[in-house]
Amino acid sequence: MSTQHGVFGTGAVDSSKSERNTREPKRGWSLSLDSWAVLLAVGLAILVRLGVFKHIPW
Amino acid sequence: MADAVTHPQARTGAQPSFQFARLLPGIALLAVIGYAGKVLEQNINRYARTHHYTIPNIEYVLWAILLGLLLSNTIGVPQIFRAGVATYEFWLKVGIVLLGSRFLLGDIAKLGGVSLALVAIEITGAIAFMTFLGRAFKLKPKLTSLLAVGSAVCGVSAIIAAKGAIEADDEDSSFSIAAILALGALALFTFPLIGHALHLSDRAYGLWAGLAVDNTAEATAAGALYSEAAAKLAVLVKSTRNATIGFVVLAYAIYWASQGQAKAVGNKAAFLWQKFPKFVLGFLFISLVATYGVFDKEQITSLANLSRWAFLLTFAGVGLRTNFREMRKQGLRPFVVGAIGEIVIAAFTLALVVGASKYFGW
Repeated sequence: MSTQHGVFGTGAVDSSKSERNTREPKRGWSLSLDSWAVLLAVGLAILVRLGVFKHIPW
Repeated sequence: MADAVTHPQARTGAQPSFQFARLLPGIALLAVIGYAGKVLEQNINRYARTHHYTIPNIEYVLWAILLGLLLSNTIGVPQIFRAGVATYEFWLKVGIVLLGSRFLLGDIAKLGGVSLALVAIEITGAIAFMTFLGRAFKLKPKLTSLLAVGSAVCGVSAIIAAKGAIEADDEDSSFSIAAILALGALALFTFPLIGHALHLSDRAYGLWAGLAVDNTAEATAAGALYSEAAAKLAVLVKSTRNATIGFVVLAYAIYWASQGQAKAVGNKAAFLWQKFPKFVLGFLFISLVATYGVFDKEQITSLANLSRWAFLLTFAGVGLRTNFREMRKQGLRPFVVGAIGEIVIAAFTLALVVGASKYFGW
């Protein structure tokens, strides 16, 4: 029995489960959710500073 | 996020896709529910003033959450809206970064010393107590680790980060997330009541909410339900807790690797950077820029209002993603452990904050 550890598994797991769990989707270069949030917020702050948005009401 | 409760396995994807068209219906739903909350608050207040009634002011925050809860727990959130509703954490982070314009770095530094000490005490105490409780209730060790990380640091985000690092089961993380979310929902309604009953100042209450409420969205909402000043402080303290996420998860990853039950951590600096919540840096950056007078008064008001619009979407999402039926399905034992732990941590942090407020004369 294989004793590989899956990404989501603990202890000894069978090989099919291990294969399923250790396979991670290939991603290209991408920003995290946090980074996108920071970029959007900083972009909005720049637009406010430049006077594109003169007054944001509430 | 919504899917965390209705489809726990979907959490493993961690980030909502940025296929914008797919997100639009859900974002529109967040906006409609959030705005409905704002309109309800305004109209009820206007009606009370016109008819000379004295009624407690129920903030848009609570209306937005209640409307979301009502929809989620009656007809449910249709599939077409779910991806967009799951962006509520994104709007939370946008709102927090923009909120940085209301903080001068000096204020953060002044408050930082006290809040940092309280955060360190809270994290150490919460991890120790949750570990003890997990062992006493004979929970699986990794489930105990997830609950400890979730209650000590940062709710759902910390659980997701720790899950990958310590190679915990999907089931364990679903249990932990459900427990933390259910208890966060309870905190929304109980914390303001306790705060008012004890006549806590905005500062003391904000500190307490930031220390004791685990998920950032709920901590922000619990603060906003008390006052705007309390919300600002709750966000600051909660962000301080968030900033420690990498260190705590790294410690757990090293522990479980030493037990032969997780992969060893290679580059520790890269690990810390990967886990570090970048929105905390964004918050500090905007705060730095505001401190140096880059924005005038009108612009700071505009940025604060933008932050409130972003939070409006977040609060609607908090209600929409909370489905009590799905939470019940996750089982009772982790919830009981989480509940006991959270009550003790809330009492412990309340004692800390009351002690600090007496000592510092807040």
